[in-house]
Amino acid sequence: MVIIMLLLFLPLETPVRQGKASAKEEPVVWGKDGVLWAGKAWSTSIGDLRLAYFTGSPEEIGAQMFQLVIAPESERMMEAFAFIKQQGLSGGFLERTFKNFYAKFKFIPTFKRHLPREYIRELEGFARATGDPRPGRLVNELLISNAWQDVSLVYGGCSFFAAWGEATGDGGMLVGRNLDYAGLAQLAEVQSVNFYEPETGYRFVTVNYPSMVGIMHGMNEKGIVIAKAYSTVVPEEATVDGIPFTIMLRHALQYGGSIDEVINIIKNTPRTVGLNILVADAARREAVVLEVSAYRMTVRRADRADADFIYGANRFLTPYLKEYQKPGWLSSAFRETRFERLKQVYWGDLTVEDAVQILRDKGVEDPDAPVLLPSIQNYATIASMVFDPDRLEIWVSAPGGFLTTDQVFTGISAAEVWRTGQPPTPVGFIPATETTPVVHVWQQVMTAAGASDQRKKELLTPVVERYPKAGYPLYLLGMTCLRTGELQAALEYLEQCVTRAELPDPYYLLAAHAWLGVGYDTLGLRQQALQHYEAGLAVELLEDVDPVFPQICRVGLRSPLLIDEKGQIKQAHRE
Amino acid sequence: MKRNLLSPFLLAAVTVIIFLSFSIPTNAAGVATEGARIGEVVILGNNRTGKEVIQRQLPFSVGDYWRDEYLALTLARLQALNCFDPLSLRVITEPLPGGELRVVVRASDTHLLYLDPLEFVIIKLQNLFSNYCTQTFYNPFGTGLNLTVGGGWGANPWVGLGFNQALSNGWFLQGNLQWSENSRQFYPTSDPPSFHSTGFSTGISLLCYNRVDCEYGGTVNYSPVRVALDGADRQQQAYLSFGPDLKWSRWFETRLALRYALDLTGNFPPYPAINAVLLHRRPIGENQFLTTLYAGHMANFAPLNRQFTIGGFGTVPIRSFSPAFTGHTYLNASLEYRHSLSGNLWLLTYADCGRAWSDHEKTGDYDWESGAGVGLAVETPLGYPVRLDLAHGLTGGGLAWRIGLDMDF
Repeated sequence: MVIIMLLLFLPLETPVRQGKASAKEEPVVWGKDGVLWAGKAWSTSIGDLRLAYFTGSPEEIGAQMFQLVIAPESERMMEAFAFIKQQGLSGGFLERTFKNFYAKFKFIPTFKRHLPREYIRELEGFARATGDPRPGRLVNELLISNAWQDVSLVYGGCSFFAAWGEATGDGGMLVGRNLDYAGLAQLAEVQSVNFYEPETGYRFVTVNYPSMVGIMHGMNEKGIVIAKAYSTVVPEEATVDGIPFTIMLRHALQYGGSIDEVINIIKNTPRTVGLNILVADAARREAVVLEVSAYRMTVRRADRADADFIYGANRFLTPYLKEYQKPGWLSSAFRETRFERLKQVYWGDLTVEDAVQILRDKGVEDPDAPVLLPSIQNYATIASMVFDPDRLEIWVSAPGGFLTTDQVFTGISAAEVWRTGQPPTPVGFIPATETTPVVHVWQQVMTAAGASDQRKKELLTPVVERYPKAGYPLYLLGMTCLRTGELQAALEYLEQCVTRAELPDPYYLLAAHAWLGVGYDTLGLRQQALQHYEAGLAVELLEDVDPVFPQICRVGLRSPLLIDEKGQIKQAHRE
Repeated sequence: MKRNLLSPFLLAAVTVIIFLSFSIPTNAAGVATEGARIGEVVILGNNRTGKEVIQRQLPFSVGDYWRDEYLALTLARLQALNCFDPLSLRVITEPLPGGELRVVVRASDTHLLYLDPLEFVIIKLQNLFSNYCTQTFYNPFGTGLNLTVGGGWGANPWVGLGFNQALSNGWFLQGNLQWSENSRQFYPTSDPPSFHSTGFSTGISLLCYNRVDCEYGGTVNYSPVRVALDGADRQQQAYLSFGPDLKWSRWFETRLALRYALDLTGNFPPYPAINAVLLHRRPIGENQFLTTLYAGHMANFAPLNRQFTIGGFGTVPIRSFSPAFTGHTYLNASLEYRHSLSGNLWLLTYADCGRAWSDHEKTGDYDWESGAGVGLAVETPLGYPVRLDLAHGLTGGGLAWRIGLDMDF
């Protein structure tokens, strides 16, 4: 599946010919005072934050995207795409051939049939602007790149919330949103805040990535805010035979002037995957979460107890859609408990600054005994933003990418951009998180979560010495030692994790017991192993989890397991 | 031929016992919505097919009260349109505030030339190995009309045109026109019965999916050809045949076709014919046991080129033999056990037993023939598997194999 992503980026490896006059209507690009102009469109930056303004016909907007966002930084774009390209190169010849075959003859024709024509035109404008001798092929590749999440069913985490009425200080509406997708961290570093003034529909703003026609979040001039979070569904509830969800969200934002209109658009769209979609309507003072699969949809509203505040993570909360949820674990329940907690903390006076603090949440209640756990902000968060649809302002962390939420948030008035058509002056800044010792250590743990085994050990060893009751770093370190063959050390860390440490999310307790069982089995200590397998299965979880760790425990109870030098778990008798 | 290694009577006894021991399933799940009022109908995915084409096939409309059988009936009708992506075709009911229902019909048009590219490649390869090629144009005008063209080459060349037009309320009109040159030889291989014919065959059928478990309709066929039977001189033949078709599916599946054939040239006698299939699927855990009975009869004076042909991997299978048994009557039974392996694999074992009765002077050695085999089926994203079969004759025949898609799996 990932090879499909490659299809996008291959053509971008060719030298980009900026401003090649391949079509008469393409504007000339020129720079002045740090602003790059193409007709009425422009791109600029405020510090590390990139901004762009696109206007005109779909073809013009597509061309502007290439000329103002891609071409000026083609080398950096290539670096950002390299990681994804590496993934795309995986698989043998036959596998790649098969994927290419299906992409060409199934997915692309399918998407083209379903998509409103204007988005194809936008891609055509982009393709022509590149000067590529085969723009039709490039359109297909761009189309697949816009749909690769639908095709690959690649799921990351995400969190969002909306607060209004009694929850906020002035009764206005605020929407906070974290995009969690560690695999796109490098690409996120070249994110930009894009303001659109299309020929048809409403003007809107989004934080987006180069070559994306679709969106994952945004706000339009009517004060409608949309943000999505994946919610994995059983295979029967997903399909590629529909409109790529990012383009569906773009269409909903561009043409939805109220909650009802957005609902109507999404309801009447052939969808592809499971999503939680936050739709906030500043004028109506209401926000809802649409829980959807490819085939089903229901509207979750803030109930009376939670009036004026609604949130979502990566699982469904309505009984109807829960039936179609695929068990998995993205720590949704824990993040939901954090939203509940933070709602109480900030209730009644929630400001943009408070919204940013919610997005920066690290699960810390007691600074003297931090749990150092991934929370609303976590090791996968690559973009954070707050929308103020009453003022039509967007506050974005910059630069995008790893640990971005702790960086400076810049406030931009979309209303000003749409009114003047000129690069805006920031309406304000929210300073970066103060790097207290606890914040520093938390960031260290999050860095370790995505690091190599050796780097994990380097980062985590001092942490567990300083905070011996923080369960998550103990779990990470124990698991790492087990994988690298340091069994005694692993068992010590993991025993400490399950006996003396704090683990607010019991999923890690299950995982630690499973790893302990495997570790003891590997040492031939069957009785201890059995105790941990049983303890693992006895853990009361907050949500349905993927079956891996329960399966390890169940299999381990039947016959001994061991972990080999490659870190793979096997049944001992098969050795 | 070796005789009766697998007793046909034993097979028949097993078959009868299996049919008599069917269990009546309990009510299907999902009855919670039965009786709720339909507040909204959403039709999605149709960008070529007109919405009214789909609406005409829906057995319900807004304001009706939902009945559970609508689900299968709607799906059957939409599948019969044969122009929607089979993998994403869905009819979903979901609750609305106030106790009403929303019915979502997801019917996505496919590519003009194929339902799925993988299926297209496999089927075309199959076709080419079998010396023919057909191509369907799926609903090119968005009116529910599919067009098919095809042709064969080699010993039996043919060209043909066909159509399938969706009407309304579950009615479909199908038709075909084909020219062919057909040379056939039957068992026994030494001094076989044979015929050679050249001419047209045209037919038109009306089919209705009126209930979940019942399809019915009728067919008219006209086939003017010049035919030479067993090397004799060619004669004009122009049979007009007509009769009803019925398919009933509940605890087992029944297909029945009745025909009366009349030669308009007067050179050949008129005759009646009947074809029947009885199929029972018994789930055994994740596995499945299939029992199928095939039977057909026509007047014994029907000319050779109009008589039944059974055997091979054809519609009436004796999989270790060629499809070259001819007769005015046939009876056949097949047992197939499908064992679900891990992943998307099925291990298959099967046995076929059958015979044809013919008054032809060269078919005096016809007797019960049987064969057995094993196979492997690999599920595909298309919803049905590719299967590899290897069959061995127990009463003769030989070793036979086939690889291809099994759309009735």
